Amino acid sequence: MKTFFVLSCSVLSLIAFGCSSLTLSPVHYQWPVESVLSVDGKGNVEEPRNFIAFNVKPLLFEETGDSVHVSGVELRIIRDVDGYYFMTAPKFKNVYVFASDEGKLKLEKKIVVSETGMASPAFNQDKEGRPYIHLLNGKEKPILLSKSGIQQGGQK
Amino acid sequence: MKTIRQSIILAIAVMMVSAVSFAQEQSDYEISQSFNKSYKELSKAIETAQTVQECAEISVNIDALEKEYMPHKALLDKTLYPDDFQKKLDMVRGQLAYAQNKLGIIQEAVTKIAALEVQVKELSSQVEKLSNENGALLKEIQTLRASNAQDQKTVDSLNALVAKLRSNISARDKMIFAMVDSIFMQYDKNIEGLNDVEKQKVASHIERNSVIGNIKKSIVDNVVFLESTSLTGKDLATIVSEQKKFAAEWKGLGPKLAVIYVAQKDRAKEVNTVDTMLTAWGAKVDAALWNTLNRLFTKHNLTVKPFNDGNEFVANVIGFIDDEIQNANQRTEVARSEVYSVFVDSVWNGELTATWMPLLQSNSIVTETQFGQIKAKVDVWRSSVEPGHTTLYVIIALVVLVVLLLLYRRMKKTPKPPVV
Repeated sequence: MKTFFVLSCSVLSLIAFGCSSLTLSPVHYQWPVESVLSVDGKGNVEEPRNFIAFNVKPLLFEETGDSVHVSGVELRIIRDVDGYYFMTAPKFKNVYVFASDEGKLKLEKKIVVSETGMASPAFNQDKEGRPYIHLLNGKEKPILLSKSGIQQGGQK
Repeated sequence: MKTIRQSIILAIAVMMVSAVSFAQEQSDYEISQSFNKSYKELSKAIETAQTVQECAEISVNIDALEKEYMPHKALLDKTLYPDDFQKKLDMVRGQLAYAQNKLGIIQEAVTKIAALEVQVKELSSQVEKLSNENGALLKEIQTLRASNAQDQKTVDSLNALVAKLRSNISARDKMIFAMVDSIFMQYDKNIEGLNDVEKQKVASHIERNSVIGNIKKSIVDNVVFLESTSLTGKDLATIVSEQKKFAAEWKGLGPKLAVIYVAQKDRAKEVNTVDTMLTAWGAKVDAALWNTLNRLFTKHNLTVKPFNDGNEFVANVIGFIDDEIQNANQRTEVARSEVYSVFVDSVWNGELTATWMPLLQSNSIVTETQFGQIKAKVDVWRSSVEPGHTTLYVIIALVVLVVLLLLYRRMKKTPKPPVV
């Protein structure tokens, strides 16, 4: 009886342990193409295709020191293979990398990419399957980014 | 040392490759957006299409869209989800087929006109390419001329550039009129039989391919070429023939365009502008022709009076020969003979009969009779500077007689052998 009880407990605890450590990997979070979102008067953006919506006022304040005149800003956003969101906009000097958390986006890294602000930034996924995001700015040489910073091009 | 050199070469190669690769990187978002925009425009065009020509043009544009975006298929397959690239093309082709069916347009007619439209597009892009190339060639020629370098290498490259430019200009002229032909062939009816709406559509078709703009550009380039190169008789033969061909083509096209643009005064004015430009080009070709021909005589110090047309040319050349014959007694035989030799060897045989006379005769500038008159005059001149045949025979006869006489005397003087 005692042996049966011990065995049952062991099996149950194994099942419970197994359930809690179940993982599916690898997961590819990457968006095939960036989204260009127009910020409304309240600082909100909504991405209908990938279903994400958030308020960017703190981000705009961080970049420009202005969280009032936010309407019409064209936010460019892309998600990399690991699920990090890369965001920037015209005139920005930085690219912001966010990690998703429960009901929020947490800043992972602020990457300085331009001293004067970018005229026409755009994001591309890496065509060769590397885990990088390409940052384009007009005719400038693309900068390869990861969540930890610049990997190639620009100033590391 | 070798390793350093190899490293430098490798570094340069890497830099070149990376420069090319980054120069080619486009924003995926822009590619996707621009595909969607073009797609929507095509779809909208199908909704408003009324004629077989419009349907054919849309069909060609769908093919062009497919060709342009095929390299981005993988990207578009993802961004167009739940559709994909091929599905989108099938959808728009289906939409076109439905519209054609509704309008009672036969697919065969669309295919036939679409083939002509493909030709128009190809010719149009080739014309554009040649125009850019010609602009660059002309600049190179002007820079080389401005450098005043006389070395063989510069002269050779200049000649090569001029030859290339001449051939490019000629090719572009042909393409422009071939393109116009392909446009008009799409409209079966006589141009005058088209109603106002149809005329408007032909006009916008012509506009889209910048027909008048290209014709004007072609004339300007031809004139600039004429002014920036020194020409020989052979060059002028080609140039005169090109100008005549161009004028003849325009003679056929101009009235058609005037009918098409009857309701558009601005465009009708453009047709008149081409007429004026063409006349000015013709006058410049004429001037270049007479300048070059006048230079042919002055270059060899032959005092033929300047001329500006065919009749003056014939009269002044004959006048020059007459003077040479009449003033024969005032100069030494050697001097007269030298002028005659220069004229006959360097001008008459070297250039006039071989190059200029065929050019002048084929363009009805000088008649065969006039050519015969000059030729006859040259013969008279020859007999005045060279000894005539009779004189020559008399001289030969005298020489033979003298020789025979000498032989006879010698034989007479020879002692007879003693008789044994």
